[in-house]
Parts: sequence; structure tokens; C-alpha cells
Amino acid sequence: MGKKLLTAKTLKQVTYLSGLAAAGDGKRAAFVRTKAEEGSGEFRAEVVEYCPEGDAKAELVSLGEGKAPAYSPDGRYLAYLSRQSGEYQIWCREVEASAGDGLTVSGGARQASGEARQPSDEARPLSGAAWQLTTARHGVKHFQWSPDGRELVFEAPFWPEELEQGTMFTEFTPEEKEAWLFEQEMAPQVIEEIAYKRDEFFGVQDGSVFCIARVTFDGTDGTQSLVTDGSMNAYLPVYSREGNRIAYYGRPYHDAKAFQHEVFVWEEEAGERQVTKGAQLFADVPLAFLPGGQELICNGFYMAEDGFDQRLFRLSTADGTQIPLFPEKEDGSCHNINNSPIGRTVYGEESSYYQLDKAGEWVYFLSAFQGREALYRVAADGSGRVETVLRGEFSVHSFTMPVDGGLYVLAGDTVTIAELYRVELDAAGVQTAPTAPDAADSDVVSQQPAPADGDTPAPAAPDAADGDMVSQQTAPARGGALAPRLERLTFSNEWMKDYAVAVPKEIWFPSADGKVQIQGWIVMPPNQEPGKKYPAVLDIHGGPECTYVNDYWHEFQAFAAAGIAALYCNPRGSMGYGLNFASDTWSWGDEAVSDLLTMVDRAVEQEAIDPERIGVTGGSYGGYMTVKLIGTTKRFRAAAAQRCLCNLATSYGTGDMGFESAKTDDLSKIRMLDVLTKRARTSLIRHIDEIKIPLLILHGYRDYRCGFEQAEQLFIAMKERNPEVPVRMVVYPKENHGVTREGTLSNQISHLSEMVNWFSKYLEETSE
Amino acid sequence: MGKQNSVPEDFMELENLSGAEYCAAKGLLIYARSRYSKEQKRMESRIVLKDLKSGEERILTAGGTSEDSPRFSPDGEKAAFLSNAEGGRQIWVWDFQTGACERMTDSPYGVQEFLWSPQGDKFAFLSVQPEHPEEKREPDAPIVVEDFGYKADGAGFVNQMYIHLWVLDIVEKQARCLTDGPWNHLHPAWSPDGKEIAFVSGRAHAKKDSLGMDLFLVSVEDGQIRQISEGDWAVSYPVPFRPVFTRDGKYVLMAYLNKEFMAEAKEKGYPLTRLHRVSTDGKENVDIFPADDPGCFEVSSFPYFLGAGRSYEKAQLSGDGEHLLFVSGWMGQTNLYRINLFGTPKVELVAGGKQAFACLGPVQDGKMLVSVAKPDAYGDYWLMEEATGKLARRLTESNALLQERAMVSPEEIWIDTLDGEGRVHGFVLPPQNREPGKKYPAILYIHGGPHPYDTYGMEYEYQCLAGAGFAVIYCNPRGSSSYGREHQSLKRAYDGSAYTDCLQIVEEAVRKCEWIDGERIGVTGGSYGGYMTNYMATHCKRFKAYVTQRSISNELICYACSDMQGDSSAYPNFEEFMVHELERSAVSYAERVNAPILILHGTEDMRTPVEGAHQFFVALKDTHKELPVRMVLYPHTNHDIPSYMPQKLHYHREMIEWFRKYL
Repeated sequence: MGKKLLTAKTLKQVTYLSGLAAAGDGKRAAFVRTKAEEGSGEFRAEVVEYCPEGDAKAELVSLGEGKAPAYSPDGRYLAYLSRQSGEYQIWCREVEASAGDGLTVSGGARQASGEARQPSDEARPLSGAAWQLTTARHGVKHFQWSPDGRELVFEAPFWPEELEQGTMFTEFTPEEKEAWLFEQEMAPQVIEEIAYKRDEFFGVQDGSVFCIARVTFDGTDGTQSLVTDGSMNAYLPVYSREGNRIAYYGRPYHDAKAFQHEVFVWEEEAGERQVTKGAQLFADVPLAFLPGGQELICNGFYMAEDGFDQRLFRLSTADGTQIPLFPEKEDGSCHNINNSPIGRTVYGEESSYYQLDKAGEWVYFLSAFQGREALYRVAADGSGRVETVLRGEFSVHSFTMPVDGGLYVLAGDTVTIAELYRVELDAAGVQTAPTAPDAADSDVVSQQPAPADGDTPAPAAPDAADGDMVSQQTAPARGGALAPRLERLTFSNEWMKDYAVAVPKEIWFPSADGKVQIQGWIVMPPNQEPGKKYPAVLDIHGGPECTYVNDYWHEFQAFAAAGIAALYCNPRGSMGYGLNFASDTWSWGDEAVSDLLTMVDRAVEQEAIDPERIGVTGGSYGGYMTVKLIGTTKRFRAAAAQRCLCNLATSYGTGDMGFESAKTDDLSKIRMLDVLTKRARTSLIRHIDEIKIPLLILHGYRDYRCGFEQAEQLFIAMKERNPEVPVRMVVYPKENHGVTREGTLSNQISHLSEMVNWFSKYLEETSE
Repeated sequence: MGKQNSVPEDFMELENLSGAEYCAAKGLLIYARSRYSKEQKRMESRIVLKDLKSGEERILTAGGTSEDSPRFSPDGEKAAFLSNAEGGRQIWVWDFQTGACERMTDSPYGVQEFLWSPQGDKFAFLSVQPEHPEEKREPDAPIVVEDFGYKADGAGFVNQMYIHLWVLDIVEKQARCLTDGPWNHLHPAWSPDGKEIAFVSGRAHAKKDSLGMDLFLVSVEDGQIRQISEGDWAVSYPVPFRPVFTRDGKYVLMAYLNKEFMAEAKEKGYPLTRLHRVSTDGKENVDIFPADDPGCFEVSSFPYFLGAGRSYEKAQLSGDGEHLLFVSGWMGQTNLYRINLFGTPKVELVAGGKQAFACLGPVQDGKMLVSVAKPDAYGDYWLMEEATGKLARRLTESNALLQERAMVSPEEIWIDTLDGEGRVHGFVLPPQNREPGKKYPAILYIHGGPHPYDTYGMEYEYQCLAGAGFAVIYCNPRGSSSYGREHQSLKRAYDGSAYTDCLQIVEEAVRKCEWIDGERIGVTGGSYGGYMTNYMATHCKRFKAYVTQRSISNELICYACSDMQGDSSAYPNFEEFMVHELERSAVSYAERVNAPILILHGTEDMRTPVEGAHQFFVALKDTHKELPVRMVLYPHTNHDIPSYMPQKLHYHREMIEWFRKYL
């Protein structure tokens, strides 16, 4: 057809959108646009505004290098983080007033009123100067405007000496920075706490402590001051609506609990107070104050033998009582709040996945449910009402709060990398997806709802008659047309028009034991030749508490373009199908194995896939499952284990999790020989002699979640015990456990190329 | 007596002499002197040329900061050395006639060692070469691994970079690479006629046999490589041994490990190195070392420390060309011996005793240069009479600082092993400026290996511990070399025998030295010594503090992560292999540790991987609420005490403070 084929290298061309924020009036929005620079391959982020100016011109305006844009409450200013002075500091620009007629849209074409934006990603530079608000010595991580716009609160790391000497707000000169970096690099690491290393730090913590600080704002410069004193790490500060209180997460504990967060509140006179004790919190996005400043909306996790989910709750700062917001019994519209979709082409920090509305009535949140990351809202009063706001054949990455029925989202679908959309909600303040297609059009396996067991509803097969539930469409139309009332505003990856994009096809099937329905996708190669059978790769997601959704992932496309079908699904243990479905009894037991194998069976039945030429891969838990499958079954012909876990006896203490003293307070009962022997006897590497298929091992050298030593265990055992089997290990010197998501562009390309080449080589047709 | 105690800061003042050569014809001595530069905050070394008639010394320099390995040209008119002055580590030549100093090589990856040809017209040198030179490798690029041997402590990920042998014509200044392939080529030696170069390489072995090497000859003219020995393993580990040609060029003398004995090493002990006479036509390979001489066990020495300058010239032809002079370890001593090359093998002691000979130079006019060190004196160079072994003349006087330090010498102790298999030799270094009547705490310092042996050389770290008010007890338990094959059994090193040997030595030291407080004894050691420290900490309640250095805590981690990776082939079932490794690993008994323990480790350690330190620390913290447990990791440090001075001082201070606090 003349279209080019996607390869790993094509990643160079991708433009990523993230970090969506809107002004209070809901009209203007800002986001971050990231692209790899030609030549160096380094990712460069810029802040871009979308300016619709009433019914007249709509255009993109660039503020230049930066990230994390946030409008001031009065909408006059846009603050963001920029590293033009060395470290990321808070910078500020005055937002342009409504443009007069003399303004030309970049690209030449004037936009008449009512016209949709033309496909283009060009952005006119914002006029006017930017000015620097903070001079934090090691940069600023997060910030927020105060409600009156007269100050900003922020999170920044400092070293104890700097707090003592008062140099925390003195920026380094480039020479000082270089000398300081060398000193840090060569400094002995003195360690006395058990939780001293973390994958997010690329290893041993560096001695810095995260602090909360403030800077005043009067339209020009400001004064910086500390809020917390550095005795404890503190993160993600937020103001109360009244502006007189600040809430944040702190890590007050030592020993095995050192990474456990609690909620703290600070006031000018009263100082700091710990609000929770023993809360199981997700501390990855800021808390939200309710009007009145006495209560906060928090996200916590709940892990039990028979399930796992994330739960929003209402926290009283007076006495620490918690009121859950989700109903006790799941209503089947979502798996509570779920921020763990995985397997999509994104880059850059995303804005918060839950926000409280102005009135304090509804918490709007994202939840990845049954393969779509959708927008919902739950009543903030604890009554348990949950409503679907926006759900369709797409996945929402971030959203702005609805104002007068309209909001912005960044959303992607299986064939479209995330773009900016405008959504108009209907009168009820929600928007449903279009109606179900003809049943005859559907290739989907018939939708028998699984028998409901006890209290926990099994993930019900979607049914068009059910109000807000998504309909069972086949893959959306090519070219990325999303649901009709989403208006596309950006066209960041038009180059994809020249490429053949494979269309993932969604299927549902019953698990082998008939207890649940499993959702999966099959991506056949584009330009499929009739009569030809194709090899396939089962691509297992990590977590296991994550979930695949309806979104674009370059990895699937690279396989498909290379003539290898990509198969993926959400086996039991995944998020997105209710509490019980997400139990780790399934993910570490036989159920997940069975569901993955059943996916392969269904794919072979339904598509032109050669059952003798199927490979398997996955990262982290997906790597673990890869090793499990190839060690205990003979289904697969080749495998790639990415940042895997295979030997629990050596992962103890070398990875950053799994302390024995976290499980019990009585340390005297612990016998390390029993602990380590049990780990060895339950390790996947004990099946090493069964692995007789070509194995590719990919791992970051600075991985501290599943240490690099896991890759070496697998590699050395394979070479030693199966010397005739092809095995290849590729080490990424500077990467940690996030190599495929946050790694350098060239490492991401290499990682994907290695896999495509491996499977192309070892799944090719033989003369058997 | 008014002398000050040794402190770790002295390391900033101490000099290390190395690589000396003596030119009898010109009456010249040349050597490298390494010292810490406080201004530049790094170790620097310079070439010193000494006129032995006048005693005058001057510095020869190409303008670099790291200059060493000086070598006189055969006619004594020039000196060549390695310098980092320009473009990395290259060969430079200093012409004594003209005073000009000229760079000779242009190696992209630097020169590791070099030799003048006997004719003085060429250099043979070693330089690293990538396996695929045409591919340009970005720093931090992904590393592809498909075979064993992908990492080497000190070098990091080998990443298809191997050491190759080159030859450079001095006049044309053209360098040619004589070897190829994914193997290292080591220990070059010129044939007397300059037509061939002998070298040692693993190129005929599987990567898995990391110690397996053979002897080869390469033709300088056409690069043809001939293997001239096979079967027994040419020695590169445990100590590098440079092959020695006979004067007529018909034979090469080389050290070997008996291949059958290698297979039994774990049970019966690491084989003793034997001297072979190999004919250069490859037809003859004869073991010419006596079978059972109680006065000399092997043709090499593996001392744990010497304090006498790194040089691996440890074997030279005698003046008459009929004998080989060599350094060998014997009963804790590091002595010079002589063996005849033809006829019934007979070994004679040339010089020995309670001093350590580190290296020797070629015999000239009946004398050869030797390096001599003592427990209280850093190595200096001397001329020794070949016939008598008498030290005829002292050539250097380094480290005047030590005249101002209250240096101490060890007392010696022996114990009979509990199982009656032998005797164990030990040393006790008293505290510096010891006050009579006062009792002192002691530190048992277990050497690494276990194969090396503690000897009569200088270990300034011990002097610093003695200066900090501790007695230092050190010994050669079973596993150590220089006491014969049986004593160096690897099995005994790991089956608890070495453990009881050390405990007995401690009790003997307490018995003999009434100034040791038997209730205040700590244990430390590095590598195997760290393994033993961990073993002691998890099996013994006798000691009051531990400092475990670059240790092994989990054999299963070493199995996969060490550059000397392990072997599970004896186990048909991998699960049983894992459980067995765990059962014999200290981390599995972490809860038993009952005394404060400090863990010291380099983050780039690829011999005893740093992952072992991480796991041991976590296990100790996981099982103890109150016990003081501390770990210090040293970035950019491999399987050694840090060499970056601020880290090195930090390291020694940590150890001293830990023992001060808890003993």
C-alpha cells in the first residue's frame, strides 16, 4: 500500500503530551510537549498553551522549555518549572490577554470563528518575558499556587548542611555544581537504616531530605522560606481553599517502615501536626482539601488475600477518622480509583488523577476499567454514589475540571498517541459513549456474564442496555477518530499518516476454569497476507497490579510491523476488573498462568497465528511470568525476560523491598536459613534445566527493584546448565527499573530492537 | 622514645618505589616513585634516575602525572617508560645523550606494559583492543553479553575489549598488532634473537576455564602464532609469571599448574606451581621442579602484602645461564632460590629469612638488583651478590618518615592444629609505644585469598592499627600457601579448619602476650578474610566487634555475579545446589551475630560482588533491633581498599573508630 512500516527507531519521531492543566475559567489549557532532539536524542520538554479565545481564533502558544504548568487562580499568570538557570525552578509568565484581530496563527491560515483547528503541531512563541521565582539549590520538584495567588508552596530537596548554613536558596554556579557533583559521586555512602536504597533513587539515597518551602508572589520577585525543617522527608504540598493550612505527605518512620507515608498538616502558628497513623497511602499525587480546610481527600490502598484496590477516602484532620468514598459493595462501573494502566507510549510527568470540584461535592478521578481509562466522579460526602463522566473507545491520561460543562483531556487510543481534546458534557455533567454497533459486526466472543460469586461481582460482560457501560465495539476506525463529542485540538504526530498502523482487536473469553471473563487484544501485522500464518508474541504486563487499556503502544506496533502478531491481555491479578480479580493469590498462583495460556489458545483459534511459533515476553512481574511460563510449559518457542525476578534467595536485600522485619515485630523468631531456603525452593530459577528455548535477558544495571543480579543469575545458570541454548544478555549501564518508560531514547530503541530482532530470528519459519 | 604513632594520614606522605632497573655498565639505577600530591589531590608517580657513583638523583619526566615502568635500553643509552603526558598512557623514550624525550606510541586505549627487544630496535607491548574496532562505542551504550568472562574486577564490564600483543619498530614508529580474537594475551618475553615473542593466553581454552592458559610464540615478522605447550595450565593466576628464554633461545622456562591437580584443587589443595622447560619447537615440555623438596615448595610466591613495589620480575636466568633464580614462598618467608635447568633438579636457597624479597633484576657482573622489605620497613632496592646471596649495597632509602614513627615488628607464634594435620604460623604485632603493665585490645586480621600468605613484609595498615593502640594478630591458617600443598587445601579453608586454626592462634597470642586483653578482641579481614569474619560473627561468641571488608556473605550471589563465577555442575538439581550454597553462607545465620559489625565494600567490586554486602546488611538489620550494624560503600572502588585518598582515609578511620568504640 506504499505505507512505511513502524520500527523501534521510529520512536525518535514521537511527540509526547503530558501534564495537562487548565485556567480556573476552563477556557485556556496548558500542557507539556516532549520530543527527542535530533542528534543528541535527549528529550526536550516545552510548555504549550492552547488558547481558544472565545469563538475566534484557536492556537497553540509555546512558553519554551519547561514542564508542570499551573495557572494562577485569577488566570493572569502561568507558572511552570524550567531549568534554564541550571536546576528546575519555578518560573512565571503573564498569560496573553485575548488576542485582537491582528494576530496571525502560525502556519499562515487565519482561523475563522467556529472552525476546528487544522492539523498542525506548530506553536507560536509567547511574547513577553519570563521571570524566575525560586532559587532552590537543587531545584524544585512540585509546586502549587495559593488560593489568593500571593504565594506558591513547593517541594525541594536539600542537604542538612545547607539547611544549617542557610544556603538552601543559593543556586550553584556551573563550576560549583561540577565540583559538588564530583564530591557527591566519590563520597563514601554511610548506611545505618534498613531502607537505604530505592530504585527511584537509582540506588543508595544521597543524604538529601525533601522539604516544603514557600515563595511569595507579587507579580515580580518573591521571598523564599522554609515550611518544614528537614527533620523528615515531606512531599506534594497543597493549600487549603482558605489558604491558611498546608497539607503534605511525610515519611516519619525509620527501619522497615521508612517508606511509609503519613498525612501532615501545617499552620502558621500551630506548626506541623501528624494526622494519620498507619494509613496505607498512595502518595504519588497531591491531597485535596475540602472547603473548610478540616478534611482532605486521600487515596489509599487496600491489600487483602482476596483482593486489591485503591480507595479514595475523606480524612478528618481533627481526629484522623476516615470515611470511604466508594461504596462497600462494588457497583460494577469501575474498579474504584485505578491509576495503573500500563503499556502505552507516554513520556513526562502526568497531572493528578483525582481532583475535587470547587463546591467540594464531587471528586473527579480516572479509573482504568475493563480496558479503558475513563473519567468518573464519586460523591465527596461518603454516600457512595459513583457516576461515569467520560468513557469510550479511548483512554484518558489526564483531565481538567469541568467548567460550564466543558473540559480538556489528554487521551489516546489503540492507534493514536495521546492528543489534546475538548469535551462537552451533556446536561447531567456526564458523557456517554456512542451506542453499540450491530452484533453482526462484532468479532468478539459472546458475552455471557460470568456467574457472580458471593459479594464480589465478577467483571460483568458489558451490555449495551446498561446505561453508562462501554459498548463492545470492534477496534475504532483508523485515523484515530474518537467518540464524536471529543474535539481534537492537537495533531502532534501527523508523520504517522505515512505509516501502516496495526489495529489491535479486542476479545473477551472465559477463563479455563470458567470463573471469570478475561479481556485481551490481538494485533495482527498490517498488510496481512491471506492464507499466511504468522508467529506471535505474548506480551505480559508488569505489576501485577496494573492493567492494559485501549491505548497506543509502540512495542505492539513494532512487533506487528515485523510480521509478528502481538497478543496481550489482563489475566487474573490485574487491576481494572474489581477487587477480587486483583488478588495476588491469582497473580502468583496458577490462575494467571492459565489465563495467559488461554489467551494464546483463543488467539490461535481466531486469527492466522501459527501455534508452533509463539514467543513470550514481559517486564518485571511480566518478566517473572515469562520465566515461569518457559520453565513450566513447552508452549513457547523463544522468550525475552525484561528486568525479571527469578531468584528470590538472592533478591532478598539486593532489591529494595521485602524486609522480614516489615512482616513481624518479633525479630527474634526470624531464622535467615529458613527464610532464604524457602525463597530458593519457591524461585523460578529452580526450573532452569527445563528452559531449552532461546532466551534474551534485558536489564538495567542500576535497577534496584529487581536487582541486576537477577539477570546474572538467569544468564549464568543458562550458560552453565544449558550451554547449547542461545542466550543473550543486554545490560543498560545507567538505567533502573524504568528503562522502557523513562530511559534515554536510544536505550528505549535498543531495548525494543533487541526484542524484535530476537523474535524475528527465533520465530521464523523452519523446515519442520 | 618520643616517636609518634602511625596514623592513616601518613599514607599521604608515604612513597612506593616500583619497577626498578639497574644498569651495571653505566652505574645507573632507574625506578618509579609514587606519592600523594596534596595540591592535586591524587597519587602521582615520577621516574627517578640515580647515578650510583655520585648518589645524585634526578627526575625524568615527559610532563605527565602518572609515569612508571622505566626500562633501560639494552645498550644503556636510553630509558623508556610509560607516561600519561599525552593521549593516554604511552611509551616515551628518554635519550641520555641528547636529553630529548619522545613519545613512541599512539595507542587509543593506552599501553599496559612493554619490553625493549634484546637488539634495542623494537618494543613489544600490551594494549587493549576492542573486538570490533570499526564499531564506535558510546559511553553508557548497552553492553551485549553472550559468554562467560564478561566482567573483570578492576576493568568492569570487559565488553569485548581484550589485551593484545603489539610490536613497534623504534625507527619507523609503526605499531603492528600481532594477535587477534576475544582473548587476553599476557606476560610477553622476547626470544634472544628478537624474532619471536613468547606469551601466555587462554585462547585455546573455553571461556569458562578462566584460569586455563597455554604458552605461545608469535613470529614478529609475519605474526604466525604457535602454541608450544598444552595440558598443564600456564600460570597467570595466582601470580603473573613472565616466561624466561634460555640464552641460546632453544627453551622457554615457565611456571605451570598441573592440570590433574587443578581438578582436585578443592579437595587436595591448590596445586603448587611447577617449573617447566619447554622447547621452542614445541616438542618437549618437561617438569624440571623437584618433587618433594622440603626447603622449596614451588617456583612462585603469593604473598598477601609486601610493601615492596609492584613488579612482576620474579624469575631471572643466572649469570651462567644454567640456572633460574626465582622468588618463592616458604613457611611464611619470601625467599630467593636457584634451580638448575638441566640434569637432576636441585634447588638451593640463595637468600631468605625474616625479610621479603619482592623481585629481582637480571644478573650483571655477578650481582642483581633485588627489592627487600621488612615488617617495619618499606621495600628498598639493593644489589645482591648472586653467588652468596649477600646484600652488597643499598641503592635507595625511601620513606624517611618512618624514622619518626614508632614502628613495631611482630612476635611469632605456632600452634598444632586440633586435628593433628599440621601446624599454623602466626604473628603478633604489639601496639606502638606499648606501655608496660598496660593491657591492650587486639584485632585478628585474617588475610584474603585464601591462597596468599602473610609474610615478613610491610603492611602499613597494621602499623596504623598498632598506632591506634591495638595488637594485631595475623596468621596463615590452612588454605594459605608457602607451607606445602596439603596446607593450602581449599577444602580446609572452608570446612571450619581454618576457623579453628585462627581461634587457636588467638588463644596462643593471648597466652603468650600478657599485655593482650583477651576479653577485648575484634576480627577483620578482606575478601576471604571478610568471608572468615562473617563466619566468625555467625558461629562464634568470643569476639566483641567485627569489621567485614569486601566479603562473601552468600555463595549463591557469588555464583552469578562474581567475575570468577561459580559452578553448579555437581548438582543434577539446581534447587539442591541453591540450598546447599545457602547452607554454607554466612547470611543464612545473620540472626546469630551478637557483636557490633561494620561492613565495608567497594561499589564496583566484581570479585566479591557488592550485592553480598547489601544482602548481609539487610539481613543483619532485619534480625536485630538494637545491635550496631553499619555499612559504608565506596563508589568507584573495586575489590580492594579504596585508592582515592579521601576515601582511603575515610576507610581506615571507619575501621579504627569502630574498634575503638566497641573493643
